[in-house]
Amino acid sequence: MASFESVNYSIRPNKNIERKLVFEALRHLHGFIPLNDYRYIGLGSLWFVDFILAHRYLSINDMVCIEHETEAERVEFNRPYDCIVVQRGETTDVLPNIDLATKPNLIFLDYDSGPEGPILQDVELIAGIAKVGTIILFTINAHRGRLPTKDADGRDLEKEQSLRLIFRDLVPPMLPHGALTVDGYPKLLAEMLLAHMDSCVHRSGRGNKFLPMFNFYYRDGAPMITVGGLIADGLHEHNYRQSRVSELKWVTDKEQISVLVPPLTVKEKYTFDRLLPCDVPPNITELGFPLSEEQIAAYHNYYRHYPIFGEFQV
Amino acid sequence: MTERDKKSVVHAEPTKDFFIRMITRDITLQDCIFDLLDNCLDGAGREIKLKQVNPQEEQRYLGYSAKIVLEPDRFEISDNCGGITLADAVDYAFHFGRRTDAPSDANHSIGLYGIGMKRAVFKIGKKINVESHADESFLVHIDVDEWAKDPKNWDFELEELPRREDHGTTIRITTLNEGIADEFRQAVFKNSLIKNIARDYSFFLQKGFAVAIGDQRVQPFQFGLRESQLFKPIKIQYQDETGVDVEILAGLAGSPPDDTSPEVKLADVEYWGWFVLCNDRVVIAGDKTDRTVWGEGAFQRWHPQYNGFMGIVSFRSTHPAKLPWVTTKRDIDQTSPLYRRAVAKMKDATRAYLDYTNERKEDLEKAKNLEQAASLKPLRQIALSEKMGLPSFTAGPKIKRVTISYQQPIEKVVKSKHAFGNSAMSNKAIGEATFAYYFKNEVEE
Repeated sequence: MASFESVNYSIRPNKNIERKLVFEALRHLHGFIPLNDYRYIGLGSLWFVDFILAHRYLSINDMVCIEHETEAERVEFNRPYDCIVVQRGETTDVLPNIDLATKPNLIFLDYDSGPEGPILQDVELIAGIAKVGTIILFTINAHRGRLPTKDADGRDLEKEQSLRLIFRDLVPPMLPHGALTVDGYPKLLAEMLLAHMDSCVHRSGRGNKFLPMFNFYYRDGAPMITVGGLIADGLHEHNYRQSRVSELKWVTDKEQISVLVPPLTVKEKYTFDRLLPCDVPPNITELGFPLSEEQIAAYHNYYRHYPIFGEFQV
Repeated sequence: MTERDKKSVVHAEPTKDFFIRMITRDITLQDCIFDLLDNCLDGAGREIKLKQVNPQEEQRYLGYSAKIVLEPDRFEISDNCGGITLADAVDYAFHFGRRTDAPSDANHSIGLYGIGMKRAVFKIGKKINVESHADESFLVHIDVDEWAKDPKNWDFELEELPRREDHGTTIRITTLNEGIADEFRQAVFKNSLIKNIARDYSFFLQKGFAVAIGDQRVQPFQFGLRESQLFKPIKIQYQDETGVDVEILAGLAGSPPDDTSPEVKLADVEYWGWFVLCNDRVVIAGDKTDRTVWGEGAFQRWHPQYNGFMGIVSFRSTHPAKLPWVTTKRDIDQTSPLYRRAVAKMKDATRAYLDYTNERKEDLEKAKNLEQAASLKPLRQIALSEKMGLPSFTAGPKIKRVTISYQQPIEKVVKSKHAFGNSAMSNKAIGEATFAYYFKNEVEE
């Protein structure tokens, strides 16, 4: 069963916010690096949420959606725009057939898999050939349980062994304390993936640099991370700095940003919103209903992007 | 022929440009850092000899340390290993080429040609400060671009500093060369440097030498071979006719893989194969080529089936020039008769293991259990043994077998692996498991 059969992506509040944060930052960058000339490559699934954002806010008209052969027909049916081409197959097989080198790409691959999936290969493939200016973003499952617990011959693997088998020299020789705990693992994972992107861009030998931009941790069920950044030469780096996009508090060099807003009723949301904007998050007395400090802080951070879901007749 | 032609001479002097650009090309950045680390160790060796203390061999380097700092704008290596004496600085360290009358003053020295430090620092950057505190203290500042401008003068200026109690050397390099800062920024570069120091300097670290990269102390890789009632590594020692002491160890160190198809991720691959050591320093690591035994002459080529094998050949001498290594100290002179004689013995030591990787297939489950039950033993604790001890698997009654082969969509196969509780299992293993499942549930009474 594909993941879209179990959930509509647009109604997961934290994923929804994470997407908006990404596209708000890209829109900010758009004034300095014209993204409308880019090609968007994503895994649209049935909902094409990210494609709609890319078309609506960045005016991208050249779009490729990669989809498994078995699901492609339904995905094809659900294309929201004519400019979206569905390419059938696995990412690792399809990406080499897209001419990544002739124009810059905005690539946002939101995988169902974890680090054991195609991500490391795909990053290497893209970093090696994609035209300078390409922006890469990857989302993977960050649950520790995704690490294989046995090797190919069925021998038991410790978590650390399993990690080293997948990430090799990306794993610090001595794991920092707590790196494999529920809290520590998404950070470690993001750190290694960003290091991998940096390394792949560096090893492509084209003199480009990887500028990290995004490192999100969010959870609407399964813990997920989204990491990514810009493949830049001197000019792109200059334009990137000029855009001052990194002044947005969720555009970070390497530090992980958590997006963990609580589900709120409409009444709660309006009550909270009436107190905003404010520099210091309100306390429970001001709020008038109970929430944990973390929940208050999370909503305070991302209230502008908080989605309201409702039922409507079509 | 004109008068002028007769007088012309061939200028065979190396130009500075040649030195800066060409010689630094033959060596990797990591090996440069290793060259500098070798100097620290040689310094420690000299100090130990000078102080006429006779530390226990197991703790020979206790108290000596080197710290390496890798920053995008700076490289630094500092040690407390005695510093460079003024005389050595003038005659060797800042002289081009090591003089043949240079004394071999550190027992089992690993430094050799007096070229390492200069080549290393020129590779890394353009502004170099070498500060040394031995009996005298001095500072040498090199601005490579300035120095290269004058074709005749090869000297470096040396500035005396006030003497200091703590002896040691600090090399600080700024204005890094193109590409170097990028490497230093890479987590992968740093991780692999730490891993390789842990491996290649393992025996020095085990003897107390401390190396830190930034604030991270490098822990030695523990070389070990599996030993039990049934598994016995080979360990032989002899003195070669050149006077060089040779020790050869070989045996099972990991777990041989069942499935060696390309899609299978195998662990620790870099540690399987042959290691060659000269004066405790790893010169070749995890070799699977004809630089050691594999495919050399009529000997079998390396095959992934041999993963889990580890062989270590160690050459030791108080005269480093007798050892079979090349200038970079990262490779072996394969034509060296001393090395050829060792290779013949290494081949003998390898053969028994290769046969074992086939024999174990007779009873794979039993073999795996026996292998896991044999614990890793540090090389030092392994007893001398001319032969490798390995369990034998008497073939049971000969059962005629056939091969079943079929293709399935990858998605279904992945799901089946999940259902069997091991997402990483090989395709071969899932094929066998599904057949066994069918047989048990549908065929067996």
